Amino acid sequence: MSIGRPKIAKEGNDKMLHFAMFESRQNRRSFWIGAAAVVFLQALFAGIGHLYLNNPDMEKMMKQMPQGMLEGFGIHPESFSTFEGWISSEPYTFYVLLLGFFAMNWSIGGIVKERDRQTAEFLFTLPRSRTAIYWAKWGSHVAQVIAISIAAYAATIIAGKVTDSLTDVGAVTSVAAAGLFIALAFMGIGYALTPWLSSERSGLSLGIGIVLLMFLFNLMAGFGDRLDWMAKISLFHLFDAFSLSQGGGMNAGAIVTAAALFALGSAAGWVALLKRDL
Amino acid sequence: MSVIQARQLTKRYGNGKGVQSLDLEVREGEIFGFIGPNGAGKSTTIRMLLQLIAPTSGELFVLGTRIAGDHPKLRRRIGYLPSEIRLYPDMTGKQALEFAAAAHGVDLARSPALKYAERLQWDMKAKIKSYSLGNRKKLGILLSILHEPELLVLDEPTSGLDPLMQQEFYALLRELNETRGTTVFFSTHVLTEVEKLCDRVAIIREGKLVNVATVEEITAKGGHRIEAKFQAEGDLREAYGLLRLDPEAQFSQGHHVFHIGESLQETLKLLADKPLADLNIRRPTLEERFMDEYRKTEDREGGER
Repeated sequence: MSIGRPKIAKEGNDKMLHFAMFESRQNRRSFWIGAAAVVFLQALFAGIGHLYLNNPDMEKMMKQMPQGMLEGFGIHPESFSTFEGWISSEPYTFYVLLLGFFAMNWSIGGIVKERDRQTAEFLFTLPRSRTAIYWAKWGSHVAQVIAISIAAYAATIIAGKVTDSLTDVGAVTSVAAAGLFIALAFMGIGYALTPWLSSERSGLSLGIGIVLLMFLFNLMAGFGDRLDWMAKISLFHLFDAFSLSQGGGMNAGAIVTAAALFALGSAAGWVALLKRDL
Repeated sequence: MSVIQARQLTKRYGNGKGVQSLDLEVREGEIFGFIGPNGAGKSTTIRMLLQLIAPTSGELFVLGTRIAGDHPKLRRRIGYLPSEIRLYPDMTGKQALEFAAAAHGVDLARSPALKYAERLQWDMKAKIKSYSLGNRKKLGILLSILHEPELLVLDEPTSGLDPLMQQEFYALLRELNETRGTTVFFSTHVLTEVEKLCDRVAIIREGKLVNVATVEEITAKGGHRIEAKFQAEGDLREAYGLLRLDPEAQFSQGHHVFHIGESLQETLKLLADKPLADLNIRRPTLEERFMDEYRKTEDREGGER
């Protein structure tokens, strides 16, 4: 039998971090692309906000556009009267859309990419449990999404301060937090699906499809009362961003719904990974 | 002690392939060959050993632990070399080794992997995406042994290695087996490898075990294979009575090839007064026996159907 084994290096929880760092390394490129896109867009929107505020030409143009479409992009008649209102309109919609894409991409790709690239045979035969590997990946993705949302939030605040348009930091914080909650809810859906898929490309298409579909539902819901149900099933409609921009505070029900989707989806993905053949 | 023990182990897939009622025992310290053609169930069995897939029914014990779900601590005692080495292309070979070593809780600098890397003439600084098939295989070999496992599970281990490296790899396996007592479970369809290395062999066909025996037992069962060339030209099977010894005797390119059981004495007597130009008598190779077993099983099953 074996005559002794090589010295065991530092054991314990640092291995979880080791696997999380490994996952971050795998997603490094998409993380920087995602961070650059989201932060740049938010900084741009926030930086040009003062050009839209109380601009009569803009108000005139808005009146000529279909109301339903404007609502779809979160634009209210009063959106352009304050910086916070502006941030809760088009910038918020694009923020949720972009952050949602990347969050969904990482979560839905978590396991399926290992299967599709046939690296699962290496990763899951290492002496770490499926549970540890799954939650290390999860931790890495959540950290990435939070890091991007913090950077985007900071860019918005700085641009608002620099252009002297920001008046209510709390309102901008609430709008940014609402976007983050929705991105986490998307991640929950991604985690629930990832163990069941076998192709990374189809996983990515499905993830982007879900985010886009929810965006379209939100857009179409504004076209008539009979389409209201579409808004109800769209995560884009979970928070009233305009109300948040006016200091309305975050709706507890919406927070619970987003958190539940995130938690239940994450747990469902974990249980499925334990049960599934790899 | 059994290092691997399968009792009525079954894995069913939707397409009907997998393994059926596998009873198998691999003993501590042996090099065990697991042979069969592609799709016979070798990789399925290995994937169950590594807990990548769960058995549909039956029991599987590895190093004394009954496999039921995920056993990360058990995997620390197992080294696995998959048939195809798929790793992260943007990592260097060294980074892959460091990652695996850390996962195993092993200090790479103190592990034997670096010494073996030199032996295998492997460049660890290059990125995995730039590796040839052979270099990826070498990385796979190092990954499987860096934590000095008690059980080595090898799936088609020499595919992609050149003949020199194959010899080096065989030497390395023997060394691990002899000096550390590593048990080796060796799946392949290259039967010469099995003949060179293995103590015992299991033959699997369409998910079922056909035979388990030592290499000597399997080849001895085939009696002797005789290849005779006579001074006279042409097919002399009838004239020299070779068909009486083996009704399936063949004549090809001037050579008469036939098989006999244990009647070697009788055969030599018969050939003694014939004008022989050349004579070759040997035990059948494992490959010949394997093909023979396969044909017999196929005929039997064909007959039953």
